[in-house]
Amino acid sequence: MADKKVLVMGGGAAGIQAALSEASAGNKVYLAEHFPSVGGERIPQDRIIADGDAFTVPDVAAIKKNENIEFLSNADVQSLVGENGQYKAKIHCRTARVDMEKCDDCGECIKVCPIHMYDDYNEGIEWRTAVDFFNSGSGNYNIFKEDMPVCQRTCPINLDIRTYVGYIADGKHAESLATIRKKLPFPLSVGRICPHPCEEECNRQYKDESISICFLKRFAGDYEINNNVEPRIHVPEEKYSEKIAILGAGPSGLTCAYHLALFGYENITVYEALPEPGGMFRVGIPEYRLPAHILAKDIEFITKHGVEIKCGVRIGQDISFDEIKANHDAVLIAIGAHKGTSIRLKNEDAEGVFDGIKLLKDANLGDEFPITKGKAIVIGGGNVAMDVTRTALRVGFDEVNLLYRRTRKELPASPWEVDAAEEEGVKFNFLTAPQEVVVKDGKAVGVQCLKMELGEPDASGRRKPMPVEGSEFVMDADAIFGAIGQVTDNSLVDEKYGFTFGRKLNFEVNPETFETNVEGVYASGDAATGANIAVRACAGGMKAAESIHKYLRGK
Amino acid sequence: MYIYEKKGRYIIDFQDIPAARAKMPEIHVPERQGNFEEVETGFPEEMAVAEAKRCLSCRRCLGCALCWAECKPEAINFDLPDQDFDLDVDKVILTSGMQRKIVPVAGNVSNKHMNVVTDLQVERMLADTGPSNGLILRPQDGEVPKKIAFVQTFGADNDSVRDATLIFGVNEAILAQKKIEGAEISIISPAMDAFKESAGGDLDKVSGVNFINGTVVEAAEVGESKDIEVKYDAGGEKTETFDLVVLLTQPELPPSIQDAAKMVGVEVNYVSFQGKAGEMVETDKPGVVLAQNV
Amino acid sequence: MCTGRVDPALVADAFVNGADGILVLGCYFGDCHYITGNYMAKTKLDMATEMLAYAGLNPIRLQFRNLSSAEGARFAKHNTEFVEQIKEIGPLGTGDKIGMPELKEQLQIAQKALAGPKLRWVVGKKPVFIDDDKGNKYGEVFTQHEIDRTLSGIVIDEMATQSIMAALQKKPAAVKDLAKELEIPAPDALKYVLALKRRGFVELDGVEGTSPIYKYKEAQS
Repeated sequence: MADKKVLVMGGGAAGIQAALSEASAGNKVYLAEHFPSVGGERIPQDRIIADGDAFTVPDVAAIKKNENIEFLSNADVQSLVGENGQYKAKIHCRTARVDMEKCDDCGECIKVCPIHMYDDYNEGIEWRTAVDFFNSGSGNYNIFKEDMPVCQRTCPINLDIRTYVGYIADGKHAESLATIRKKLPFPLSVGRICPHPCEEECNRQYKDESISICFLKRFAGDYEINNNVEPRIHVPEEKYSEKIAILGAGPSGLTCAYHLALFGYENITVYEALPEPGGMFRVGIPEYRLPAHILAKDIEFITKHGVEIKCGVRIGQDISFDEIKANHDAVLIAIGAHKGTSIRLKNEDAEGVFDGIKLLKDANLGDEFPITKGKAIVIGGGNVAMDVTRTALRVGFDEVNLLYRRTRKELPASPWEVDAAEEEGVKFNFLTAPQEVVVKDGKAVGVQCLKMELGEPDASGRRKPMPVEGSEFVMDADAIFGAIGQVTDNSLVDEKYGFTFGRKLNFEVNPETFETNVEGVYASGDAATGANIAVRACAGGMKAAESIHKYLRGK
Repeated sequence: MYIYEKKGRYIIDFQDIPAARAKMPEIHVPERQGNFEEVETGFPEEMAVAEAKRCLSCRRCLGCALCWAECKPEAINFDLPDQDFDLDVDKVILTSGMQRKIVPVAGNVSNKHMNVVTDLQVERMLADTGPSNGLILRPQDGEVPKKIAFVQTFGADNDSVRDATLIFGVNEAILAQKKIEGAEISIISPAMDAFKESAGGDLDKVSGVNFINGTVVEAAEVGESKDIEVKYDAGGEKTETFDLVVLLTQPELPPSIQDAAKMVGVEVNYVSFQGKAGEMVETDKPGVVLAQNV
Repeated sequence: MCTGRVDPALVADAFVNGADGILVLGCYFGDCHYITGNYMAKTKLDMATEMLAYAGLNPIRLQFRNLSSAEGARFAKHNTEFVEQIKEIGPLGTGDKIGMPELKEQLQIAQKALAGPKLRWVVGKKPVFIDDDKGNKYGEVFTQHEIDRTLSGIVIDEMATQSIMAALQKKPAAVKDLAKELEIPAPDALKYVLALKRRGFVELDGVEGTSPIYKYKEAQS
């Protein structure tokens, strides 16, 4: 009789040895391994082998024979808690799809399997088949099924890219668009502006170039407009009457509203502080990348599902948060991150120093901007900085200089945005660190800069920029724009609720459910994650909708 | 967290490879000045369809169930569910797993050189039950290499990880030396001198392997055979051509073990498992034990 | 008899035995006595065409056309047209991607692949895979493009695998020589050989100089 229970994590040589010795001491052993199979011979790394045993060969057969050992393959430990020799473990074992009690290791399945794939156990030296023994001799057959292709996995909202691209290849553009809209209600907008992390992972790049996934999404959307196709509106069978308030009509808020409408909620109100809906799509992305009339089409599609948007209502000013909370069954805070981060330079408050976000907003909404000619300096290196430079040129500045303390290689902006800015005439000043704003008569007239050079590579091989002594110089400017990041303006909620905030003044949420620490209040998008890409905000909105639905139905 | 998704894995050489990706049509720079016209004008239908057709529709298991149809003992069952276990245990034993970090050698962008392999791949090849009958093979043409360089491309986090890495490489070199007649084997590491000191006399027993204290500057493919030309600095720059280059990888704890340790509340790193082979080391938590590497 | 029963392996067999062209005439779509027989025929013949074209055959030599059994004049017209087309490109081995006798060898390999279980099975699954209400074992529905990719992937894999097996059946060989002879990139040839070894079709014969030599392994039982 086994007197103790032991969990061994890892089915390598050390794990097998430990399992066998515990079992022989009369204990019941659970051997949990992340891979489908245990064992395999290893070359030692703790002693130089002279003669004799080159490989450590774990006794896999003994594990199988030993009745005190239960082998858990494909195992992931989900929780492991306890104290003082009393531990509780929750272990999830992914299915092998092969019943090992019945399998007789005849190998017929691998002879007929039509699929070759990367063989993990042998580090890709040969190919395995989709149904396969993991390491030879183990007899642990398994069928490997990936949960989704790499592109879909990389996409924050997990769009079924393989299917919607496939439909375009088949000429079924409406089906393609419907596939996208199962999750994302912004194909026209996201299809134009997404930095498409999916394309970075596309497997085709190892042979030639990635598929142009993002623009294909745009195509599916454009095709509907260009051919005057009436979009399909999904009418849910069940209806729910709970009242839901969504604060912020941006990518995240509207995606959440869309999904709630698909679930069947009929009383969804979206409150927007700005005069027009769209959030950063409307005021953060310049017109030349995403025209307002295109964005309007996506928003129209959403409102057709029965979502009401109230613009020009600032929470905490026009209506209090208390009132919103009291009158609704659930609230989503999706107010984005619209406040530019300070450039932290001396004299940054001088006249002529602006938040880059303000230029983008004013240009997009057609508002007058105080200065629109002469020389502009933009500080920052992200995609927002690129938008600011290109917008500055368009509103009338004669010369736009971008300052960045590292080199082009380290620029966080997407390379195609950098190329476009350069093509249009933006001057890039690399290895140039701004030091302070130069002021004359209370007005900013330039930026004092310091040249940098790359130092010796450090342990990770990266070369850090070092200041060049005595290289200070002043770059003239009529306007200076900061574009080094944004934070959330969280002043709409009162302290009494006890919301907790992150480094970007963002609402802290449960990363799975997007719940805040206040019951019935959710937050998503930039307001929860800090400034991030639009499609991630949409993904948050979708997940928040699922959580709100679960919360309201569980009530 | 799947182990199966690795870069550069098998892609069929379809007949439409290579084909360039569609380029988004744009309005010219002069037309953009002083206005906010949309710059990118969108794919025309023909272009979009052609671009979509480039998609490889990546999929592993087809779900065709041919294996199921062929399985006489009816062991294959697509509906077999995932299983969850709630275990109450008295003892938890953690092991170090077998994850290793690859630091590519300069010049071998995205590990593209065919004849640059990792020490893990060589271990699989040397194993009798491995894919190559215990032979070391060049991935480029399946030939047995004569001139091999083991290369360490990084400075290890600490001395014991450095030693583990190099001992692994030295052991492989010894085995390769035995297996390949007339083999010429070099091990190049920036930490070789320090390693020699810590390894002491053991290393002197190894004959026929060239130990070089040096830093590899660059590796490049040469000629049709895709041999690897290695430029290295060992008190003066040298260039040598090898049939095969083996990258030494650094062992590290896999996320599964790291997570488990964090959940149960013990602090571990790779070094925690580098004690006397097979020994059980207690942690701060009674009943949580670290099985040392064997 | 229904065109749905025209097996791709039979078609390949006819070409191996010197047929210059094959015209398959089936009922109009929607008129099938067995409901989907002619759709099945089209699917199978499309795949056979892809396979044989990959092997080097001019795809004009294999055609599927629709006809009802009451249309004598149309039958004659189809035949005349087809014969004209075949005459224009000439006998087998002229107007194809490769000439004789290589074409015959390639067609034999294609025949083996078409007769094997993989293509046969997956082609048979196609109608289920693209059906919105069914899909594969995991419930995944394929687009037409996906199923086409899948099938051409198997065609390419099977051609390489079968040609390596055929070559090794003739005589044991090293990977680099197989690669040269069969015009398969050497790194791929190595993986195909090792994968065949894993499946028990091939084994190591010995090492000559620096070259491991592989041989065909006779099936047990």
